[in-house]
Amino acid sequence: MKTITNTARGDRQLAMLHLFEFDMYNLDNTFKETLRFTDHDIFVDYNLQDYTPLAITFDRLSEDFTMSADSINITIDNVNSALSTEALGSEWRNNRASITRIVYTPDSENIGGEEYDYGYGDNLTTYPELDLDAIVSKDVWTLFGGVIDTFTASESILNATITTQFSNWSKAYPSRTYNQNEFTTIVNAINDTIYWGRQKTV
Amino acid sequence: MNNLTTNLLTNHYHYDIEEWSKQGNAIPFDSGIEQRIVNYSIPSIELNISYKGVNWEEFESLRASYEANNSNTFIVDLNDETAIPVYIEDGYVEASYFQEELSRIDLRPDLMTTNAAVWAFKNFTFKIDAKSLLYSGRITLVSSVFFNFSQYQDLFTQTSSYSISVSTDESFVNVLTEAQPYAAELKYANNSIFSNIGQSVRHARNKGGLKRAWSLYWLLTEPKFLKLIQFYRKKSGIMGEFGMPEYGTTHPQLKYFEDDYIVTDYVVRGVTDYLSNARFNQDSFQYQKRVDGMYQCRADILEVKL
Repeated sequence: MKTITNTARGDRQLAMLHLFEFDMYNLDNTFKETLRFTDHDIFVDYNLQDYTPLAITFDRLSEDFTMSADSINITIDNVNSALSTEALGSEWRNNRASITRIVYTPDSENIGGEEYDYGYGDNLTTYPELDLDAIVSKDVWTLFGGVIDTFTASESILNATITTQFSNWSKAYPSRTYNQNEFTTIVNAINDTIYWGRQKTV
Repeated sequence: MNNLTTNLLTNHYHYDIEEWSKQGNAIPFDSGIEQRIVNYSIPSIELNISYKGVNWEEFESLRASYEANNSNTFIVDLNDETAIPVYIEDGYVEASYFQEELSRIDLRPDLMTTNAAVWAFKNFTFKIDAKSLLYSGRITLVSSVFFNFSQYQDLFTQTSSYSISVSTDESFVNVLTEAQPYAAELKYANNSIFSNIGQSVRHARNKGGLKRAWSLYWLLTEPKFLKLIQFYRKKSGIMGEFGMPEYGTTHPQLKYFEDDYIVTDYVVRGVTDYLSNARFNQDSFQYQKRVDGMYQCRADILEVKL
């Protein structure tokens, strides 16, 4: 269920980050570990889990003509070769992958007697980690859930395609009570941007 | 993680800084609302450090810092900057008193302890002119999010290395003692790969093979120019190799050039150990003949790794 509260929708300025989870299985099909990454610039702590900062981007979600978003390409930094090593030593395919979007308002911060409304570089303590559990004003929703379909790796990047369960089941987005235009707008708002309105496209 | 604060900040005279903070984008809506979304909130800084009038030993120290850390992150804490006497309206002010207030360019160490003052090299270019034999140049640093905390360091290790590709061929040195360049640029060709988050370097991976590169500038009379072009014709193209003195010209500590007091053997003996195996970087050689009969030209030379 995608829930965007008024907190996020109403804010004129907010911070957004994504959490990525990939389940890894051993080649004998036993569970190995869950890899947790974030596209934020420091570690993110959420639900007591540590998410490692990584240069990770994903294509814009879009619907196809059946009104379903069936797959998405993710590009992950592989400069240290750790991921390709992991990918070759375990089974990625057909395992759970998810992208979680988190929208929050950075806390204010007092540095040297000066108040910074949205902090200067996230509130940091012992090492650079953003503790999302401590931030009250946030919205969390699953942007994309599915399974890893294929991946390719080069020296500097690893590309993966993840596919929704919708696609596997040939199932479209839920049936609707509003008209087509409205629906597109709402889906775009969820996928793309935060404010629940029509984005200016010209 | 290596700390290069003292090495890099000792002889500089100028900073050129660009600081990014709260990087993100603004999205306008048809309703007239504009929503601003922050994606990266750690401040990122690109820092150009300029040097002027640096002598050979000082340059060598900077160069050693670069060569040993060309593809890894390192610490430079700008708040540790060497104190400089500061003058304000009322006259002389003790430097140490104001130092802390005045040199606080990078706020990251304040926020995240000194373990956050982490950088990576982006560029390293110096120029020496043959008259003064002093170096001027510029080092560009970019901030890194690969901080000096075990949580980051445990992810993977970073190293850098450089070793000179030694040559014993003195043919080009002999040409240089005749056809002396009036200036030489000293740079590097780096083939390591970097990944970034926002404007910050996340990780640098050393693939080895850091190469020195030179650009030499000449203004020569015809007989000397003919020696140079003859050498180029012999050694040109991708296959030509020769020994290149590491400072681009003959030994900068021997200041005899102006008086034409050069004992070739003496110069050569001084530099033999430091010749790099190199080649011309271009397959062509451009030069101009001026109305006064002088020839003006430039050549790019690149180290060849064995």
